[in-house]
This record gives sequence, structure tokens and C-alpha cells, in this order.
Amino acid sequence: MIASVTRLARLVTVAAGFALLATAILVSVEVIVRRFFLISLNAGSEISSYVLGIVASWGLSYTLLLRGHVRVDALVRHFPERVRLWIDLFALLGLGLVAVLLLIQGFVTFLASWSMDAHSMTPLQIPIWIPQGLWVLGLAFFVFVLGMLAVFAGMALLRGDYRKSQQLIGIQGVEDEAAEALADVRAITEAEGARQ
Amino acid sequence: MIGVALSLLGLLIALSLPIGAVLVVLGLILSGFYSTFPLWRAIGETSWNAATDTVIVCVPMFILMGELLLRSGIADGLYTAMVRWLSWVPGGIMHANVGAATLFAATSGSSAATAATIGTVAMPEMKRYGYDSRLFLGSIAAGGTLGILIPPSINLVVYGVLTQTSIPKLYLAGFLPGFLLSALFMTTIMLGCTLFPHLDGQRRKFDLREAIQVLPGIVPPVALFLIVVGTIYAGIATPTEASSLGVVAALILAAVRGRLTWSVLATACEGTVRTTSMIMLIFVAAFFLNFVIATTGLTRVLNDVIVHLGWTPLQTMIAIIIFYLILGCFMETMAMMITTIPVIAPLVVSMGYDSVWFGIVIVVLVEAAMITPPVGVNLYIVHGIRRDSGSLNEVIAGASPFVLAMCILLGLLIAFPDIALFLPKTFE
Repeated sequence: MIASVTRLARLVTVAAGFALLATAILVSVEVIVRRFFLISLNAGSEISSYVLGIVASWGLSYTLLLRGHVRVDALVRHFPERVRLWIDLFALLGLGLVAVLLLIQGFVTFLASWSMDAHSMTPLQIPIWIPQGLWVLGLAFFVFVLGMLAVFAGMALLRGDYRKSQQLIGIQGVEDEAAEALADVRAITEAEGARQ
Repeated sequence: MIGVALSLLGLLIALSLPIGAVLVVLGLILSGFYSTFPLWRAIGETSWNAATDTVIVCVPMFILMGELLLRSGIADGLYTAMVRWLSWVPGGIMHANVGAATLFAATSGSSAATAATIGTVAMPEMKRYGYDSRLFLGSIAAGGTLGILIPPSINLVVYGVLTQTSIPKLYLAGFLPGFLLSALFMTTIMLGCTLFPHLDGQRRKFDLREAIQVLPGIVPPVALFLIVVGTIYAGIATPTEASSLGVVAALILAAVRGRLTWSVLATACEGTVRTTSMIMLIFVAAFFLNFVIATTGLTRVLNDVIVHLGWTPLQTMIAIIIFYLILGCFMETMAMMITTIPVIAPLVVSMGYDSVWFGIVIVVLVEAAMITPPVGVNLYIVHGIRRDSGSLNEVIAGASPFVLAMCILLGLLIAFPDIALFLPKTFE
């Protein structure tokens, strides 16, 4: 289950990245059109801000699955493994609490925009509930992934399967973070070597 | 009240709760204690507003631009050019490390990417020409940090949004200190190699023809710089729009150089969204905490506490700098910035310091944080690029003279604020 959810989360993440790319192209076209044809569309900056909100909320889950949300391990890294892993679960639940609150209140905000039929005060007059709805859906997916991880990691801990739990919710140290940036660069260098 | 808040903050962070969650939980507790209104109900609204801020859109765009540039292979040409132009100076190609990082920084908003890119190209040269590994590795780690001081800069954008400071002004303010720091780094290398010749490697000489031959290598970064920064001051684009132009330019650059494949695009997109989500979670949470702090009047209380200490503005500034130097040893830098700036920047401004100036000071402190152990990301990146089995301590030792150079810059900034403020004032 975790594997398929991770696949889905990655798919969504890549799609979100392409949405950003498309927005960048849209905004660039707008700038060029404005400069050379003196036509002001002024839609790009509004759209790009909605895209950012939606992209960020949909990307939360994959970032979580890759343990990419920032935590400080200066103290807990000195604890015994078992204690540390229970703290990891506690940290996950803390994030879960915040995410649930964000989801509920985000949904309330969405409902208010929907029932008032609020539109943006720009030439585009976009109904706000559309981007807000997509944003809230991203949060809902995040809460789902958080819940799933909590259940699986909790079960692994109770079974005494510490390695599994570490894999799921352990802290990603600065060493891992650097290793990842390097793996990226290496992959590029290798692709380069293959080309030549 | 302040004591309670700070202890709570410290406890939650130490228990390794994700930083975004720490900020929201702290906001909830503070509002529970000090407000009669259910402030938690506002979190939907504040989060939506923070998540769709039009200026913060720069952040994912710069990350995407960097991801594409990293894969476009422009670093090789740039580095070769720098080696041929700078390696006659005492310290040789270590100057190329700093010079290439300086130029690459001007096109990239991220320090880790700059260090990784330049480091990969530079590493083979270290053994080949017999450089002392410590200073050589330190120069890469330190040079990489210039990425966030010389515009464009993700960190300056985040600072600008958190403090409502103008991004074009912050960019202008970053130039001179950025180039000054680059010069200080080079001076550090030159001094080091003059005093301790064993640190230096085999000197290489190139004739003028060879030097001119490699000049095309610096065209792509210069062009990108003009697009992402130049368009702002030419009045063609806003900073946000300029960042989008940068993405498209990087895309074209990668395509022209034949590096653009679907898998490259997908990897770049994935990396961008992950980093964006990581930053935005903290950003959105900080906005909520900020809202609570403002509503409950905590800023005023904090201000009173500082005033009560009876310190002069200079003493307070030095205390703040020491605080950041220590905090930077333990905390991821973007998280550190977003967590502390909403509280500290208003204090600093109320003491009579310029908000633009303080932005530059903060970014220099963040740079120092990137090369101080145990949590200095650039140290680990440079260490990871090594092919020999040297220890991390060598990188740490090699980076330390550059931390000193940063402290000198901070001193200069305090003594002569115009180093940062001259350009913004001139172009006002």
C-alpha cells in the first residue's frame, strides 16, 4: 500500500512541477507580449500565485514520504534507537494534528468562498473556490498519507521492527540531505559521460 | 510570557517535531493563553493568503531554474574559463572555485546547488595539481554560499516577504557585499598560500589566446543574470515575473545544449516541488504564528524586554549576530530564517536599523550557518564529492578561515552600512 501511495504521490508531485513550468511559460509570454505589443493581460501573476498554493499543498505528501520536512535532530540523535523511534512517531502525530487543523479550517475557508460565490477582484474574476478547493484536496491527501504512515510505523514499532519504522518516519539527517544533492549531481555527470 | 514561549519553542524543536508543526502548536498555545478570541479559526484564511503570496512565487521559480541549470552543463565551461583567468594568483585554482561560484551564484538562488555543481567540476583538479585538501575543500564550501547573497536569491526573497521589504532594493543591496565577500574569500586564500606555501598547488600559466578561447563559457551565466535581475531594473518585469523568465531561459539553455529530456524535466520538476513544499509548510506556519504574535501583542512585550535590558543598539545587534551564529550550527537555514525573522526583524528596525541592511546581515549569517558544524549542509556536500577517504574534519577546518572572512564582512557592514545601502539609495 505504501509503495502504491508513494508512486501516486510522486506522480502528483511531478505533475505539480509541470504546472509550475507551464505557469513560468505563461508569465514569460505575458511579459514579452506586454513589452513588444503593449498588451497587458495581467493574468499570469494571479494564476501563478494560485498554482503555488496548490503545488505546495499537493507536494507535502511526497516530501513527507521522503522524510523531507525539516526537523532538528541535534538532541534526539543522542537518544537510544528505540526511544528515538517513538519520538519520531510522536513528531509525526504532532504534524498530523496540525495538518488536520489546517484541513478543517482550510475546508471552512473553501466553504465560505463557495457559499458567498466569492470572485477574485481582478479582470479574471476567478471564483476563489476553485483554486481553494484544489488546495484543500492537497491537504486532504496529506492528512491521508500522515494517517497511513502513523498506522504502519506504529505497527512496526509494536512488532519491534525498528528498521522498518526508521525507514518510514525516521529523521533525515543533514548527511542524507547532502548525499541526495550529490546523487543528483552524480547522475547528471554519468548521463554526461554516457553521451560522450 | 516570553520565557514560557521561548522554552516551549526550544522544547518542541529539541523533541524533533517538524518545524512547521512547532510554529503552529506554539501559535495555538500562545493564543490559548493570551487571547480571548479563538485565533485558531483564522488558520485557514492566513494559510491560504500565505500560500498564494504573489512575491513568494519567486521561490519555486528559482528552485526550478536552478534544477534546470544544474542539468544544463553550463558549470563546466564557466569553471574552465575561471581556471584560465585566475590560476596565476597565489592560491591558483582555489580562486577559480570562488570565482566560478560567484558567477554561478549570480544565476542561481541556492547555495547547496552551487556548492555541489562547482565542487563536482573542481574536485579532480585538487589531487592533479597537488593542492592541500583542507583549504581547497573549504574554498568550495564557502564559495558555494555566495549563491544566496548575490542576486537572485531565494533567501532575500523570503526575507523580503516576511518583513515586507522591497525585493529590488534587497537585490541591489546584495551586490556590493556579495562581491566584497568574494574578494575577502580570495584574500583569505592568497594570504593563506603566501604564509603557508604548502597549501598551494602547482601554478599554471595560460597565454592570452587560451584565456580568450574560453570566454564563451561565461556567456550563459551572464545572459541569465541579465534576464533574471536586469529585467527588474529595466522596468520590464517584476521580481516574480523575472523569476519566470529565468525558468524559461534555463529551459531554452538546456534544450539548446541538448540536455533536455523527459526524464531530466521530470526529475527537475520533482525536486522543485519537494523543496517548495518543505519551505511552504514552514512559511505558512510562520504566518499563522506571526498573526497570533501580532494579535496578542507579544511583539510589544518582546520589545519592552529588550528595551529593559538597557543595551545599546550596537550591543543588541552583536547579541543577535551571536545568537544566529549559534542557532545556525543546529538548524536548517531556511527554517531558521522563517522561524526567527518575523520576531527579530521588527525589533531591529525599531532600534533604528534599516530593514534592507538587516536582510543582508541575516543572509551573511545564514551563509556562515551553511559551513559551520554540525549542521552545515555545504560541508557535507563537499565532503560527499570527495573521492579519497579524508575526514569531514578536514572540510570543517578548511572552511573555518572563510567563516572568519564572513565575520569581517559583518563587522564592515556594521561599521559602514553603506556597503549594503549605497546601491539602493543611489537608484531610489
